[in-house]
Amino acid sequence: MDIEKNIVFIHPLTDKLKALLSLVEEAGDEFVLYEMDSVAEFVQLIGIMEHSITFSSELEKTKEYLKKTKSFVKSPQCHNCTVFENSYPPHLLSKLRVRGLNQVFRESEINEQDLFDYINRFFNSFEDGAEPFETGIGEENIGGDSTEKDEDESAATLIKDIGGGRDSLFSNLKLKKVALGDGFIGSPFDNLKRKNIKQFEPVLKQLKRKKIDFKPVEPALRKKKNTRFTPVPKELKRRKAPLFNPVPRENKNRRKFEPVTRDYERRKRGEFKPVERELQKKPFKEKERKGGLKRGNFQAVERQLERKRKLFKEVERDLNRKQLDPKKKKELEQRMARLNKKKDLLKRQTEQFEKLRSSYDPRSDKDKKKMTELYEELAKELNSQEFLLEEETYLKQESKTEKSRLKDLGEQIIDYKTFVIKKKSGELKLSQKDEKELKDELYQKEQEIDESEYYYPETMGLEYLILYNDMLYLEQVNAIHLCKLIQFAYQKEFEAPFSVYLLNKDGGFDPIYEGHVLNPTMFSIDEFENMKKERSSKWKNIKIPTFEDETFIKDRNEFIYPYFKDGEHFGFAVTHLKPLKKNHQDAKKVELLSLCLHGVVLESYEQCKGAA
Amino acid sequence: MRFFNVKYTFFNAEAVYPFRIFMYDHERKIRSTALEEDSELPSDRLEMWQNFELKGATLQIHEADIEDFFHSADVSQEDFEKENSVYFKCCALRNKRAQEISDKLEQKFDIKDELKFLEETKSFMPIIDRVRVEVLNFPLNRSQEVSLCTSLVEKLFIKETLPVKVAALSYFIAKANNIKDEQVLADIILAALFRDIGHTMLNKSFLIEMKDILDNSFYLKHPMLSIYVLSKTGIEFNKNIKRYILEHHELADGTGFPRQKKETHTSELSYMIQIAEELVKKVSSKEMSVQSCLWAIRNQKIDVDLNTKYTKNLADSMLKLIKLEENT
Repeated sequence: MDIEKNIVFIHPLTDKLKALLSLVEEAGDEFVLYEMDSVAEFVQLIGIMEHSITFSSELEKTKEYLKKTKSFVKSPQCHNCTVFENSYPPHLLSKLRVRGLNQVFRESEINEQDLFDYINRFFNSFEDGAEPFETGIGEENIGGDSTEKDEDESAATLIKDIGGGRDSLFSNLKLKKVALGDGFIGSPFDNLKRKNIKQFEPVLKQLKRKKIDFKPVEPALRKKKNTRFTPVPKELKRRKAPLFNPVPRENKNRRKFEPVTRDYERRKRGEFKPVERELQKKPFKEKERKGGLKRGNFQAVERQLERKRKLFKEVERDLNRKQLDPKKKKELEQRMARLNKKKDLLKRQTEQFEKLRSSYDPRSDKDKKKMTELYEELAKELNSQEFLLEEETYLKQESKTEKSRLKDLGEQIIDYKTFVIKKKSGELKLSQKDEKELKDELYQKEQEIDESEYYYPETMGLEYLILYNDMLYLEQVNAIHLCKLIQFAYQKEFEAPFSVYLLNKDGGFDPIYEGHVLNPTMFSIDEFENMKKERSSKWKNIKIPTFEDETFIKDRNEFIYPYFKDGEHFGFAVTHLKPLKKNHQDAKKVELLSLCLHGVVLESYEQCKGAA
Repeated sequence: MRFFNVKYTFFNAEAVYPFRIFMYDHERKIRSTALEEDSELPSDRLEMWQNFELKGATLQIHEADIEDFFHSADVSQEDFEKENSVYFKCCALRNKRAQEISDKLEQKFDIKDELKFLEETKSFMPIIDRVRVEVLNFPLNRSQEVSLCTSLVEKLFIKETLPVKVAALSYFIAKANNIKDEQVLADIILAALFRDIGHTMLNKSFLIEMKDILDNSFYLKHPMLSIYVLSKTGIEFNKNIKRYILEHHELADGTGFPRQKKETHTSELSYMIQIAEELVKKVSSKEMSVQSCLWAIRNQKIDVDLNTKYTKNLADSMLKLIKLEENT
């Protein structure tokens, strides 16, 4: 079977490998030759080749390509050999062996022909009927512990088991058969076959460096030695900046840098001189004290303040001014006195008039005269009464305005000096008594007994109960009289009819008193009879006092009160009410009145029982 | 009335009022200052007052500040009276009663003379009238029981009925024992009026045939039945009234009912009601004169029909009702 014989040379090569290369080239198309410089190319190539043998001479590159192509280089179809010039320690070589390195040759101990035979033997081993490939010549003992040998064997079996053998079940490294018989010819990988190495001449780039003569920069400004610092004169402070004149461009395309001629010259710096201040400081002199006063200059300020600030006396004067003029006051007082006199006069005259009138005799002329005189005087006074009223109101107003004027004095400027003096002397303090009185008054106001809760008297229907109780002891009073009393109470309080019934053995009920029939105000007799038939079962079965409408709004609101003795239901009372005003208060009254008849209904029941 | 109720709507925010405004807590019965005089009312305070009113407190002003209140608060008389409706109603009622009884109250009245005349006239009306006049003069701001007593006396003390007679006599017996407190006197009157309303729950025939009534278990329970009926009125009577009703058949030697209490275990006022009842029964049935009855009580004479066994103090107090000119 013809197989593709791929030989790979990884540069740099030793002399022996170069000679081998030339031998392989002379062999012609028998071998497929690959030369590569980088490991990356080899990584791309190794997966394609079925049978290959790789030669390298540099330790680092060998390590790298073995590391990167672990899965491929360990297969028996891929053989890896190195030719070293130097000898390496055995532990390094053992590491390379573990990674897949098959053979190590020494440069000094092997020749190219042996290597060429080695190659032939390797590839022939894969042909049918060929002897198995065994490494024999130039074999260097890579590393020789029994453990390593065992590991080799185990590794070999592993390789066989995993992917070495084609027929292995676990082989996942089976390379696909190349469909083309000529291998890579015509395939997209043609360019990887053979490269013209000679054309490739790696040339190191030489960096073009500019040659510059480096000279240290000389300082432009040289420091002057032993120069005194002189202040800049004033004149130098404010100087106008020189006008900047831009240099015209001569040529854009000029290549040489020519120094620009400066139009302006650097001015020399002047000497620094101390600045003479315009304002001269006056030397500090003590002022002479004038007459013991410390602040002589504040006299003017004080005078101003005096004008603003009023003394307490002046404030009093103002108050007096704002009060009524004494003249006007006198006037008012006089007018009041006149008013009062006139009032007294009027009073006396009316009293006289009344006395006369009581003892008036129309026949006597004297009385007549007196009457007419008095009457005329009274009439005059009455006419002037309106004027008096007006005067009175005016005087009252004036007195009121006095008070209001006094109140509306506005802001007052008070001299607090007097208050301070008074406080120190203790005049402003309330005496203990006064303080106590004030506090007690305030406290008492809060703590006064609450007399504000009044209870408006309401009997709640109890007067009927007491009357009923009194009638119980009278022999001549019977059940109907008592029922009438209750009916009277219902009518007076609620304008409601009232009926009482006794339950009989037959399941019906017999009336003790039927106010609905005797006083048909709310219902007609027929209406009530019909209602009785309709609601008889309901009335019998109610076990507790119930209102039909518990909001007490409904008209003809039905109320049923059942009577019990020892759990036995023996009777009931029925009323029909108008809407109640006080709701729950009135509802209690209704129930109380029905409760009163318990004894009466019980008596009737026991009589019936006894009779039965 | 010292304090009048007002509403928070009567006041305006940021106004200055020249009077002090109080806040009264009805539950705790505490009054505090809500706003001091001549101070501005902030709007927050008004909202606070609204919340307090919803919780049951009331704003109040002192009676001395009423004029300033009307001047500064812009409130109509109607609104103010509506807020204090109970007070104004009670004032009107009091004035009306005062007009009615003022003359009669000034008239002299001696219970000893009246009890003596009772034997001749057999009429309790002078005593009943006197009780009516004195009770209508009671204040209406003392308690609910006092107000109720005045209303019942006004309506019932116009006719001689058994409960009214007993109540009138028990009133004077209490006064003879130096009881002047209006609350206590009102309690006695109410207890005397309500003591036997439990009879309404009993068969009427029992009450007429009184011979073996003490053997009837239902009758012996009638004090409790009276309290049961009172509970249906919706009014919460004080404990004293209930006690007097329960004990109005108890005797000092423990032979009474329903609980056979002895001497000081029973209230003296309960004994007074009992004495009054006995007096009324004896006088109405013409068995004994009033004076002899009173002497019998005073001397603690045991009589089968009298059933009178009371404390010594109470017995001695009967001398105040007896005219000492006549002795039996």
